[in-house]
Amino acid sequence: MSYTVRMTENELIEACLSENRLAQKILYDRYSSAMYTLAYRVTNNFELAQDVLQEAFIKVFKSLGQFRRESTLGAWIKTIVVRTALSKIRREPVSVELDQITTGNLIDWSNHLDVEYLEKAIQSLPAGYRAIFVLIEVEGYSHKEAADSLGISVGTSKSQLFYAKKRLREKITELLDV
Amino acid sequence: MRYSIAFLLFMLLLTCATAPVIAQTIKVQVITKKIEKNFHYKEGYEVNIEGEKAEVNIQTWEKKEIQVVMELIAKHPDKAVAERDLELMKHLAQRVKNKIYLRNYLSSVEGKGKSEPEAYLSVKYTITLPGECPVYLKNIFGAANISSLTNRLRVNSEFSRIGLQNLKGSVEIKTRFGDLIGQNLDGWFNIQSRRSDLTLQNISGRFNIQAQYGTIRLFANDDLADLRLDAEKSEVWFYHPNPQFVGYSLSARGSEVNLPSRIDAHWLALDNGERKITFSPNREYYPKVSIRITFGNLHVEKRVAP
Amino acid sequence: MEYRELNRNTLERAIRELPGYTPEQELWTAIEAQLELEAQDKQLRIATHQLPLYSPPPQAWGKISSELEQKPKLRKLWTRPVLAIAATIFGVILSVGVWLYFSEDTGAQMVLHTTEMLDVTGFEGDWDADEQDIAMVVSMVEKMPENENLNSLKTELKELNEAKAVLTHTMSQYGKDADLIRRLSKIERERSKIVKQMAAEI
Repeated sequence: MSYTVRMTENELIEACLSENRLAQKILYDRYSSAMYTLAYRVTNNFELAQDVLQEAFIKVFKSLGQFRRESTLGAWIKTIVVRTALSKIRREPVSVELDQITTGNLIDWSNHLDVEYLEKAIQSLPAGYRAIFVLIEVEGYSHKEAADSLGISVGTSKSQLFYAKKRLREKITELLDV
Repeated sequence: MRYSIAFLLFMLLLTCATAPVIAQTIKVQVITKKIEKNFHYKEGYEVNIEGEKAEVNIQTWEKKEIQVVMELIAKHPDKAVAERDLELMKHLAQRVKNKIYLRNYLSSVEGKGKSEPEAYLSVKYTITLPGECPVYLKNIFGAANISSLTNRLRVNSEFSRIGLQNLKGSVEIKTRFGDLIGQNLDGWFNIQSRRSDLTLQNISGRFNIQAQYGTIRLFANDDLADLRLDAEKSEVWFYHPNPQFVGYSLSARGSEVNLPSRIDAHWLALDNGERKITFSPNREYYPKVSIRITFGNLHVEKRVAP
Repeated sequence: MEYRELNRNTLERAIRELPGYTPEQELWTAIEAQLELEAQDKQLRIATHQLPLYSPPPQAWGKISSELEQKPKLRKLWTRPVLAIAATIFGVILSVGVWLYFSEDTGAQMVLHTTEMLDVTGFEGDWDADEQDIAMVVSMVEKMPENENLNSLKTELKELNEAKAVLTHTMSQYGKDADLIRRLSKIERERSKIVKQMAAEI
């Protein structure tokens, strides 16, 4: 099979299952940037993100036979990357008390948000908040999915997300003021 | 005034008299020294070529063997002169440990009354080797045609034309005052070019290109994973069959950028005169293209390689 | 958990525009190496499970136990001279064979003679005709106060002058050919551009 021939996802999976190294590389090439970015966003460390990526792709190739095609391949790989990345970071305990967050709290993102400031602000978040923000807002996870991945309740996931956003907004304002 | 008109007429007559360049052909004696040498190939071997004014052709075969054919050529109307000058061209084809060294060079002309060589001199290499054999090529002047390598290729070239076909694996290229023309390239490419023109068709995999003073035409296919291009004072064309499905991070300074209308993103102007734009298509995976252009022009267009 | 977000679309747009990152090239090599090891391990595991089981002959233990009872003694290799000579000859033949197989051929060499027609139209170039004028512009520029643009032009001209020197030297060594002349023409065009820009600054 030619390396550059377009393969459908199913063909690619079949070829990877038969341990075709070229197919494995195509799969890696397809997803490595997206997954590396995700790993970096969760770990906030490029070196750690490389470790995560290596470990995660080995897991992907070893357990591809268990992929049931209930989600897309990308979503399945993402789950493995997220789990691997989360296992690498030491999550700080959640310091916010639920009753401190009252309903009707308001976060105003204003009319313009500089991407570079947002990136810096995400990097400044404590690991737990960063993970919840990245999973839900950047990666589009539901609170249930994020809570399952992080081993927390849906309620905690919601409050952590709110707190993460508050911190982000404050950090962006701080950066703008400098 | 009259003098001026007379002068102009004189110049015109002179131009008419000399304008048609008369084709001039001469019969030359061609003396060719042909050297053939074979080496057994083992994993870990590398072919290391340093050519001067050489046309280097590298092709692959299934055999675990490296075949080298070198042709040293001298052309002159006088056969004796061609034969004499041919002797000035030296060559080396030798294995030392795991490296197979191939060289050609001109020995210095010494002695009283000796002048530079009079014959037209050139060298041709035809190297046939297993696809997985790593190759290092340094060539000044001449040309290189390299095809079907799958492992590692490094090229350092000046004033040469480099042609690449059907390459995979890791490829590093440095070119100055040259041209790089490639087709069906798939792997990890690292290219540094200065005052060179690049035309790469049907590219996939990962590309990292630094270019100064050049015209760069890149025709990507759907399997392109990542492209990083840093182009200074260069004219760049990036073609993709579906440019709207590509993620872009572009930055431009003193440059014009033309994007297809389907790429909906806004520019961010920075204080240093730089403009930036990022765009991510709404897809699960997509190629990433990061281009930084300074004092040049960038054109992104929907097109496949001709 | 209820809260309100104003201008949420701003956040969504910024998130879409967050930069992406690419891992180091070497990462795939590391993954591939690990996969290779895993594959070898797997093959080894499969192979070791498929290895046949053999039972020793009943008398084996008897031999072992009697050996254990005796004192260990050194056994002389090649006790018979004939065997030793035969082994030496065999070794020499084997070495020569291996050497012949792995040694490389010294290469064949031949000299051929042919004739051909060579088109030398325009080979006598005039690329040095304007050097005096160029030198004059440069000397005038040298006397001018420095500025960024002039410095950049000077650097570019220096690079192009060096390239021209290399090219003309190669022409004197290997002879002029169409490719060298084409390359020199390109450099001359670029030099002209620079000199014109310099002249405009004067």
